[in-house]
Amino acid sequence: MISFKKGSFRIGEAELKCKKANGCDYYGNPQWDGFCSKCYKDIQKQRRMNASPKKVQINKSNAKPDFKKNGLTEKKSKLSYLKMFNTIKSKDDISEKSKKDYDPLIAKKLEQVDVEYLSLLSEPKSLRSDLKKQIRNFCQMMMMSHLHSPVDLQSELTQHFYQNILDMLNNNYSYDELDHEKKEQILDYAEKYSMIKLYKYLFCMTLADEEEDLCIQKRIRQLNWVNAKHLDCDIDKTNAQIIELVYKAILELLDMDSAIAPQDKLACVVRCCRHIFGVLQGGNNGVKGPASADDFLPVLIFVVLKANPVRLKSNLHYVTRFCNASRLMSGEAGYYFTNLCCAVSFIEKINAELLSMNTEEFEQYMNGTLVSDTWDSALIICEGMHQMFEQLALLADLKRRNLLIVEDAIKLKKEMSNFKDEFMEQFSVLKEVYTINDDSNQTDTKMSVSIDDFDPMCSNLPPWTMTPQIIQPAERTHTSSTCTDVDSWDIHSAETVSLHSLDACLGMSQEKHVVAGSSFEHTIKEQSHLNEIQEISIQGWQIPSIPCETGGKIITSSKSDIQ
Amino acid sequence: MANRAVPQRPNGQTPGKICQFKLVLLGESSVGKSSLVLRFVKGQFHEYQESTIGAAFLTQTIHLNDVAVKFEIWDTAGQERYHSLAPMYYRGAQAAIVVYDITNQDTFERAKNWVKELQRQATPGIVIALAGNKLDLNTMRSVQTDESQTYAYENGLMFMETSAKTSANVTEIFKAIAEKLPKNENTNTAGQGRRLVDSAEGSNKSLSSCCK
Repeated sequence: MISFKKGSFRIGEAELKCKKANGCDYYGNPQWDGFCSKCYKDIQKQRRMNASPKKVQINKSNAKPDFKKNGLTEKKSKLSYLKMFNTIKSKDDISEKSKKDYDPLIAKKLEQVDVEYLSLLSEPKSLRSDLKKQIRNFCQMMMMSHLHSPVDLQSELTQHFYQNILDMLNNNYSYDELDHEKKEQILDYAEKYSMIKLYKYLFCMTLADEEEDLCIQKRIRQLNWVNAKHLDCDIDKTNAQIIELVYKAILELLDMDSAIAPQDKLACVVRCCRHIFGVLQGGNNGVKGPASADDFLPVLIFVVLKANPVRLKSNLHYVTRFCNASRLMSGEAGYYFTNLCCAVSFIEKINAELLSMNTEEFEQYMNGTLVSDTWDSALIICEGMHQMFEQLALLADLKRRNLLIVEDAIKLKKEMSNFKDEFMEQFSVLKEVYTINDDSNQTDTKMSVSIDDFDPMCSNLPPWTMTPQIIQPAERTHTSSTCTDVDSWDIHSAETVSLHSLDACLGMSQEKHVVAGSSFEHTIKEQSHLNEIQEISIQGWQIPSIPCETGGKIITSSKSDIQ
Repeated sequence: MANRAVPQRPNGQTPGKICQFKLVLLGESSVGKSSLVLRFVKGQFHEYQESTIGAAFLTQTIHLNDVAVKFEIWDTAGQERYHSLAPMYYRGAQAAIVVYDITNQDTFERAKNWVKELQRQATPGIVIALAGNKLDLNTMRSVQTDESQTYAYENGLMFMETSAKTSANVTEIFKAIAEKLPKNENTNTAGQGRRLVDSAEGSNKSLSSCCK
């Protein structure tokens, strides 16, 4: 997580590049005075060129003056680094330091500060020069005194300096029109400018500071098993948003070391604490209410433990000593800084009782014989753990989605079976309906008798018997007269007539008769049939379907005949 | 930053005077310190607004006649394990409210401890108020008003029973403190600063010894 989250870089790239003014693009090396190898060689050469004529003149006997000189400077520079590292300062160092005073990086930062406050300082014309003068004097005094005066004195001098500037702003009539806010900003500027300039003399200046730094660092490392539960702090470790806020808080705390001016360091602390309040409020959702100090301090302690910031004590000392004291006594920044001091102090004091566990267990944890089995401490340290949790969250999401899909699938299945059931039901209903229809179709022919039985209209119908007496339309008198003779022609005509009259009752079967009737060859056969029909009709004219069937037979027979 | 409003007016030429005071809240963790402050600052109880980042550090200004009194309220962690850190919070404070829960005798005993400590170690002349919170739970009371009243009188404390829930006596206690605070002299920040550094040095020295 930390690897892909961009914190502000603790060392800017510009700081690492070769110090050559024109901007050689290679990286520099502190062993070569911050130059790249090539530039350093050039500079060495130039120095030799400058130095050699004099040297040669002075010590002619010396065979290799250049080399000696070269070696000397190198040794000297190495020595100075050692000194810087150990923060052992000697009087000879002053000249060395003043020579090295010009640090392009610091100069750049000072320029930035100047630009930032440009509009502020432009108002009364004397302000800028007055301020600059004060700052210059103060810086010179501090640079001169930083080696032999104790830290407390320097701190006092610094606070005096702030007070002097404030007095100047308050008592000088030319600054009367400045309001309170502006005066504070001017004071801010003075503080920032002078502190950036003096940073390397004031920060981590005593051996004791450094020892304390190492001590607290070791202590925190020993306490790496302490987790949120030990401190009774309420961090929702499963919420990715909250974990991210914890990381942000840690990063801000780590950034404190890279800030230079005391107010910038304080700003880091403030940002860190704001993230912690975000954590306590449950991320952006703000589920919980505003957190009180009861909840806040444990989480801050947790964050400090997990961050283990470098030079922590030095940073705290630097801010308490050289930051404008009013800033620390009041205001949000002051409050948070106090909390940070409390957290550090608590960490130094931590014992079994404070973590509400028994002494034995505590000792075992401290010795490393007992290893924290909870993942809380590992979570912060181990990136893989974090990734795992992210993936777990992802998996949980996938699981959720999968469940949804399964749910949907089950739903679909249910719907399908429902549909099937419904379909089957409908089908069975329809089937029933249709089977009845089929039956009725089948019985239609069979049952027609019974239907006709009860049909009162049937009595009105002409009887099946083709007796001319029954059907005697006026127009057809000639046919009816001939009907009595048993003649094929006449019968045929009579039949057609009778068919006409039976139309309504017999439906389409008559047509077949007509077709049958039209074929001349069958008239005789028809005749014989007709006789049969007549016999039947004598017995029961109520069976009208019989001729229909006979008609069918006739058709088939006629067809086969044709074939 | 919120620290810009530090009154620095030796000339005394300002018409509307603003006095800023640092007030610390002390008390056991469940007595309702932050509820009390939230009620005072935001006029709310439990109905939290998004804008409230935390109830640990809040400011509120009240007006007394022609003077605006700005309270900077520092909440402290009340758990027993952080008791030893309290001096770092009340260093330089001009006022303190020690809160206890009237339904819990233990919190009253701890409040007494805090009062003792404040009178011994805090800024001389610090205004201390004793607040018996949760007056709304009067029926479950275990600390009698007379008891705390006498205690407060004997130790020269201001005393009120409050309820953050019903907001009874909440504004009143802050107002009473504001009235009692000296508003004429300027807060000498430089002096406080010195003291801060000194004590920070002292504490750091003692702390560093414990991890060796």
